Parts: sequence; structure tokens; C-alpha cells
Amino acid sequence: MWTRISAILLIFAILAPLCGCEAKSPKSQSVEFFTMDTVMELTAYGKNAGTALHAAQAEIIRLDRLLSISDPESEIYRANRDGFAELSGDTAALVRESLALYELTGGAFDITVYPLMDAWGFYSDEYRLPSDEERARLAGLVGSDRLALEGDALTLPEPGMGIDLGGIAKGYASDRAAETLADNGVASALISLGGNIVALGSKPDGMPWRVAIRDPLDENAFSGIVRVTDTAVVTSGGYERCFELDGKSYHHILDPATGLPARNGLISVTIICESGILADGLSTALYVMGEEKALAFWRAHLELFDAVLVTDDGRVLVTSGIAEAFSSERDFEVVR
Amino acid sequence: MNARKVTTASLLTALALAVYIVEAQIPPLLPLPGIKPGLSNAVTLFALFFAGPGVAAPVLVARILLGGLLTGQAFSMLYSAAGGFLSFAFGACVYRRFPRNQVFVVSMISAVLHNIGQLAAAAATSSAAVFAYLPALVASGLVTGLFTGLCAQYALLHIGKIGFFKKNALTASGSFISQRTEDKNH
Amino acid sequence: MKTRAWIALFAALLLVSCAAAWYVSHRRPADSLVGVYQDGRLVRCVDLALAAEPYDIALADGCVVRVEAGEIRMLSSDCPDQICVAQGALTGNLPIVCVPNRVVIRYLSEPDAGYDAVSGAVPGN
Repeated sequence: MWTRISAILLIFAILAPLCGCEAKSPKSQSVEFFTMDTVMELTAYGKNAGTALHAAQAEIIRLDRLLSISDPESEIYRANRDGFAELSGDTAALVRESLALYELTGGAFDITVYPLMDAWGFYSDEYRLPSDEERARLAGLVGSDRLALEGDALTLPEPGMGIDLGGIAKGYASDRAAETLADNGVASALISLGGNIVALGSKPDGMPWRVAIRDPLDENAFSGIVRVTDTAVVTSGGYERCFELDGKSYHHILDPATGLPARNGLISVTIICESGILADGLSTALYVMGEEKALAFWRAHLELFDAVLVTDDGRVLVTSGIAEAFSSERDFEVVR
Repeated sequence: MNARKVTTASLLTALALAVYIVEAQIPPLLPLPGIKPGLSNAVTLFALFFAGPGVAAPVLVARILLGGLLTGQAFSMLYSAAGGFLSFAFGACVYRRFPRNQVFVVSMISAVLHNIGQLAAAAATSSAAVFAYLPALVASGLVTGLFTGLCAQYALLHIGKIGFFKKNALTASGSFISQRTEDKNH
Repeated sequence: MKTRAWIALFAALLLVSCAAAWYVSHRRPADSLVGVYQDGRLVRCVDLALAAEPYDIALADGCVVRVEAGEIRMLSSDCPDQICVAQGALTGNLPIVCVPNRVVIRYLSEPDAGYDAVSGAVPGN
């Protein structure tokens, strides 16, 4: 009897590990919904994925109601209408972060561009070209240093001033969504909020998440693919929203200094860093800065983030910190 | 443990260590991790069938510890121990059920289990990808197990011819010398 | 069980395992992405197709990996056996393993589109 058992044990011992050779693909769950004016898709792995995803979805929708500029119930809407508002924790945190970013980027990131954006028609979809005088007048209402934030109370001193948190709302929401997922026991997830990507952990098999960067000139192609773990990837580009008038095109990323769409040599900026809110803010800021200032800014803040820039003459620039994780079918230049 | 057992264990340990250290000087034959002739296992196997697990276990443990230290490969003791434990556990369970002319069978299975144990330890410390080596290690286990098994087998079959062992055979339970003094024709 | 039966069983197993060993070492995945793992974590991802000039990766524990001409190999290691170095270039599904340093180098399988998500909104209003 023992001899037979030995034989069976031997066969089992040899065959059993072979089953482990093929990677088991664990179950993933996803939710997809529309909010903050865009499509959101969250994918999570793990036993508690379903509950976690619904919690994350609820959180994102809650933030949208708080921060929307068009929803009369939102705090931002009331602040813009009244010139004053008592902000709740999240909103106040966002405004504080925006002010910090304003300082950090030397004014390139500025939430007070609301009146300019409104003048161009980006909020009403009735696009128009503001005149030079109009832009000069509105310039007096722009500048985050004019805002007064005391505790959680926000004051917009001049009538006609307004703030738009659209430049970091999705980034903040993606960070909060990732936190919610993690709090619910998810270790591996991918969040896409209208193209703002946050990778939580790595894929279930241990490999990094692969995030493709959309080619600004060809919506079916990619500038490259970056491999990330526990990182946010946010891309800003004028191509995302623009209109044409008299043969010229105007996009939605305004330079706060001039009131005109930023035309400083970059057509797409992708920021890769741990914080979604920082990635979101910097992607707009570096787009406004243009190639030279953006690279100088990166060199001054190497430890904070990495970037992939696409210039208007078709070059793809990749900062050295992320170069090894970046691959592309096109030629690209590594910047140090 | 009586004096006879201790003496036997010590002698066999010395023998196993000597074989192990000599074998350790030979460079690896194939560029695959874990493929070794494992000649010292012939001694452990002999100890098991000759004097039972009570003697063979200390021989194995001493060989792993001292062998690792003396050959300067203290790190790999973890892997030797994992493999050694698995193969010894198997041997200790089944050694009574196999006739002396099938000692090589026990040896071959033990050798394969030893390699699996080592592979599992490597997978636990590195990554499951090392299991890609499983087929190669099974094959080599079968081959080396056959060779060392035959060494132990012939030693066991003919040890009785040495007068000392005929008269003073260990009577520890499970000693084949006392139970089967007649060789089966094989 | 008769000795002859055992011999037959072992012969069959030997055959199967040799065949499996050959298969494992020769089956090469379609693409050229290689992962370098240490202590079970992915430390580097190397795309052999894109490596233009030879370069070295120095790992934490005294192993040096070289990427050259579309191949990857263990250049040097401080392990006593040097099996990992003797193995040469990575081929097929058989990983390069340095057990004392807990390093595994193997092909990564990517059966799908090549990416998991796209950063950047779809153009439109």
C-alpha cells in the first residue's frame, strides 16, 4: 500500500507545480459613469472590489457637486456669484492647494481665470473672440494672489472675479478615489477620470500598469507608453477642447498673463508623479510655461515629478526620471 | 540514544561530510541551479535503512549544518534544509515498506522531492518564476537519485558480509539487517 | 509493486520531464519585454527591442545585468556558484536565476493591447 501511495505522491508532486506555471488571472470589476463633464472609469481587483468601487464612485460624485461651476448648489458657484463663501473641508483644501501651486509655478497655474474663460465662451459653448480691450480689463480680475482665504472662508474682493477648480478637480478626485479604494482593501486598481489616470499599486500579477499617452495630433495613436506603479499620469493638451474662428483655432488652456490660449511651443504635457492633484495642476502650468520654462521648472523640482512633453514641431521629450519606464514607436529625446 | 547508535551516527556523519565536501569542489556540470550529484545522500539513505530514522536524521542535519559551514556556503543551507526535510520526511515514512532491492526507488523519489523542496524555497524567496526549472530538476533528480540509490542499495545488501555487522547488527526497530538476513535474489 | 513496474514508471517520468524541460527552455514569447525581479519585486523592465546601445544594470546585491544587442544576461555576480553567469543570454521561458541574491530575470508576457489606460482626453468639446 505504501508503495502505491509513494507512486501517487510522486506523480502528484511532479504535476502539481506545473499547474502554477500559467498565471491565474484574478477577477476585476469596473464601474463607468459620467460626471465632472466627462467619462470616468475605475477598475479594481480583489475580493472587496465591488464595494470599494461604489464607495469611490460616490466620493467622486460628491466632489463634483461641491466643485462644479455650473451647479447652483455647489460651493464654487456660490463663491463666484456672491464673491464670498464658507468652504467645506475638501473645497478649502483644494483652494489652498491651488494657491500653493500658483506660487510654485510663478502664476502659470491660476484658478482665477474664470472671467477670461467665460469671455471666450468656454462655459456656454458659445465661442467668441474677446477684444484686446476686454482682455485688458479682465486681466484686472485675474491673479490668485488677489484671493483672500482665511481659515475656510474665501473672499473674491473684486466684483466679476471668479474661480474655476477644473484644472485640479479631477486630480483631487482621483487621489480621493484611490484613497477610498485603498481604505476598502483594494491593493490593485486603475482609475481613469476623463483621461486623468491614477494607478493604485501594480497589476495583480505584479507588473506595472501601462498608461498610454494620447498623441495630440492623431487620436488613434500614442506618443508612448509609460509603466507606473502607485502613480498618477495626467495629460493636458489644447487639442482636448478648441474651436475655430476665421480659420484660426483657439484652445481652452489660457495663459493667465495674456488671456490668450497658451502658444508656447507645447501641444501636449503629461505629468507623472505620486499626487494626482499635483499632476493635474502641473500639466496645465507647464503647458502654459512652454518648453524652456517647463524644463527649467522640472530641473528645479526633479524629485517632485517627471514629464513627457510634445512640442509643436513634433518632438517628444521625456525627462530622465521616467525614461526607463517609457517606450514608444516614435523617436523621443531624453532630457536631463 | 544508546552508545552504539551514537557511534554509528557519528561515523556516518563523518562519512557524509567527507563525501559532501569533496563533491563541493567539483564545479557545476550544467548551468542550471540545483543540479548536483548529491553523493552524500547515499550515506543518509544507507543510514536510514541500516539504523532507522533515529540515526539518519541527525546524520542529515549534521551534514547540512556542518557541510554548509565548512564549504563556506552558509546561505544555501536554507535551501538544502528545505529539500532535505521534504525528502527525509518521505523516506522516514516509507522505508519499512520497501524491500532492500528497491532502495533505489526510495532514493529516486527522495531525490525528486529534495529538488522540489529546494525549488519551493527558492520560489518563496525570489519569485514563482523559478518553477520553470521544475522539469529539468525532476529529470536530474531521477537520474542522481538512481545513482546514489544504487550505491546505498549495494552497500546495504553486502554489509552483512562484514563479520562485525553480521554478529553485531543494530536491532533498532526498522533495522533491515536484523529482519532480512537472507538476500532476496533480484 | 514490482521493481519492473517502478522502473517503467520512472522511465516514463524521465521522458516526460525531459520533454517538458526542452519545451520550457525553447518556447520564446513573441515580444521582447524582460522583467528583472529581486526579492519577488519587479525592479526593472527592459525592452530588448529598444535597447540601442549596450548598458549595464547594477542590482542591489552585487549582481550586474547587461543588456546588449537584443539580449540580456547576467554579467557578473558575487554568488559562489556562478551558475547564473554561465547561463548566458536569456532564452525561452527558462529564467535566469541567482538564488543567493534572489534575482530572477524573465520574459514578461503581454497578451493584450499593450496598454491598460490612456492618459489625455479624447479631442472634442
